[in-house]
Amino acid sequence: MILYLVNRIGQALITLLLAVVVVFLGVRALPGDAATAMAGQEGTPETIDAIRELYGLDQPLPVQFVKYLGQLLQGDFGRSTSTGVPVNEVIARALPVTLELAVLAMLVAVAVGILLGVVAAVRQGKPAEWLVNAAALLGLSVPSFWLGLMAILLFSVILGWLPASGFVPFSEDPLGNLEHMIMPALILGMSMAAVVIRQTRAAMLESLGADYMRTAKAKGLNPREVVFGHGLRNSLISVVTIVGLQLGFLISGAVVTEQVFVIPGIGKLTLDAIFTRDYPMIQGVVLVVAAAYILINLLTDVVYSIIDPRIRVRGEAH
Amino acid sequence: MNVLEVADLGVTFATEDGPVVAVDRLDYEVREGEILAIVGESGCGKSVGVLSLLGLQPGNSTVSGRVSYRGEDLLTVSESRLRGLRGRDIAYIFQDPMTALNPLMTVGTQVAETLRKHLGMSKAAARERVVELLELVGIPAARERLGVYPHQLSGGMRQRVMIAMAIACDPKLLIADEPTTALDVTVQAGIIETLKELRDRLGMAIVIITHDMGVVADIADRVVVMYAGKAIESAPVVELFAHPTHPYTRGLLQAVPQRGQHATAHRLKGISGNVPVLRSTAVACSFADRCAFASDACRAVRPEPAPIAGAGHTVACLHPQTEPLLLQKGA
Ligand SMILES: Nc1ncnc2c1ncn2[C@@H]1O[C@H](COP(=O)(O)OP(=O)(O)OP(=O)(O)O)[C@@H](O)[C@H]1O
Ligand SMILES: [Mg+2]
Repeated sequence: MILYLVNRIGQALITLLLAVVVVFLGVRALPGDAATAMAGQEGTPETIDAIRELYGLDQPLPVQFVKYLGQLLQGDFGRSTSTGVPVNEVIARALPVTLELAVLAMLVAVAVGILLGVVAAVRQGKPAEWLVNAAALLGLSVPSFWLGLMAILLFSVILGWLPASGFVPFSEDPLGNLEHMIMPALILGMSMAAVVIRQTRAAMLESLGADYMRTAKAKGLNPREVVFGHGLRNSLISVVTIVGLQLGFLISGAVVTEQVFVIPGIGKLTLDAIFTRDYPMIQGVVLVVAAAYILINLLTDVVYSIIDPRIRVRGEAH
Repeated sequence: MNVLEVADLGVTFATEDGPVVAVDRLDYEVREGEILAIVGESGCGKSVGVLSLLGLQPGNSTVSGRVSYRGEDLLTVSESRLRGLRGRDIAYIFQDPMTALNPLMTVGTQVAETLRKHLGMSKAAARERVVELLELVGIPAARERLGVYPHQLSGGMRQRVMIAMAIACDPKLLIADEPTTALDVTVQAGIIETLKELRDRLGMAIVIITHDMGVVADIADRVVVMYAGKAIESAPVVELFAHPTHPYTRGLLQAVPQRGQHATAHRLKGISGNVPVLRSTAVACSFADRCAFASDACRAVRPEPAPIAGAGHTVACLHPQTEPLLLQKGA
């Protein structure tokens, strides 16, 4: 198990290094002078020179890269070219917001998705399955920005139950924070829930036909013990895969959701950075998002190996 | 005393191509403490026949007839009563231990589950009992094996775990559906030996389904030969081997590979054709089309099981064969 973990963490670090290389080369491959590009539209000759100096753009690439890496390791992502604030500070403020949104959305998606997926599989061919399938299709095919706007219309404008937009940090006002986050989290989790439903249903249908399910039934276990104790656990392997993959999409989904609900997270930050051509900010965001993807992947694999003993053994055999 | 009496058992599957009668008015009984072998070709309804006793048959099926377990009709009792009987009074061992065990649960947990369910044992007590059970079925270093997963065991060891699980609550009846078919020839004999020993020590009755006449000769007290969902001949094992009477039974025995021949090459050499798929309960002899002795009468009436000379020997055939069967001995 420990060997397996070390192995996987090593792989993750290499992937992260590759991401850094891509980001590093990406900016330098920009058409024209990188310093001019990085200075943004309002860049004065002085700022351009300052950037050239700062990033050592006149030096050979390997030297630049080592320097860049050194800065990253110290947590120095440079300064925003539009506001002058250090990028890492801006990201440090936005990241927890997006993380909260993503985690809430994931919880909703996993809880709802697994439950409905199991129902659809166990009630195959019955009305309950059709209802769940229809709900999943709806969740997949309706664009989330539209769903978000409709939800605002209903819950904020018509019913007045929830605030339409904005954000309050959890540390300042926990209840207010949840009030602001619940609707975006539901909307963001919706399409993921749909995917989890489908995956759970398919995996459960496969498990239900397995020999060990018959063994479980032959032992005298009741349907709940058979389905959840034996079937669901075997289905979770493929559900975890899909959740891991979908978490990646959650980050991109957050861009839209944060825009609709005016939430100051990474998504909103990214869009703003792109509109102002704030290259240091874009680089920072790309690196953080890439690191998040890699981390999610790593976690997915760890969860796998906890669920499935066979993976543990295979990983150690290498 | 009979532990189990099966009378007129019928199992029909509703499939997309219409009904399939897998078990067609099957009769047999199992006596206390005996080992009964059920033999027959693939697809003749052996598995469905035993799974349907406790409502474990797959798919969309209707079951009819009477299944009396110590006087209680299993086809009419409630689902919760069935759950109480499953694993406690009547336990199963399946063909492929690779897939019949849950791959994600340790061996110890899987065996303990039955004990905790039926006997309400504490975790610790169940653990101790599992060690005893694993030792009883011949698993060495039983205590160290509690925490291993099925994939870490050999096929033979896995099947022993299945057996431990099945005998955990001291069932009155153990049903083993081809317990050795998926295993290496070298470990088959060991499993059969273990089953025999367990019967002698625990006194349970065993129903063993097999294709292998060698296994039958080795372990069974009595034999039921099945064809197309029905029992066409039944007799004590010595009597059956000495006086096989139904043309199908004789074909099966002639098909047994002799010493030196490849085990599968000569299967069912004596019988050409396949088991028919029944769409409704048979009104004639289902074997007539493959039988060298069939007459018009065979195609007009269904032969019912009837006693013939020889203790406890019944056969369902209009043309029972009585000449001694010449088995060619190995070359
Ligand atoms: N789920 C199902 N749906 C429809 N028909 C089925 C189903 N399961 C079994 N059958 C049919 O029932 C018949 C008997 O099957 P069964 O599995 O009992 O045969 P068997 O004698 O155990 O064969 P084998 O030796 O191959 O295990 C077969 O003709 C099969 O097609
Ligand atoms: Mg079978």
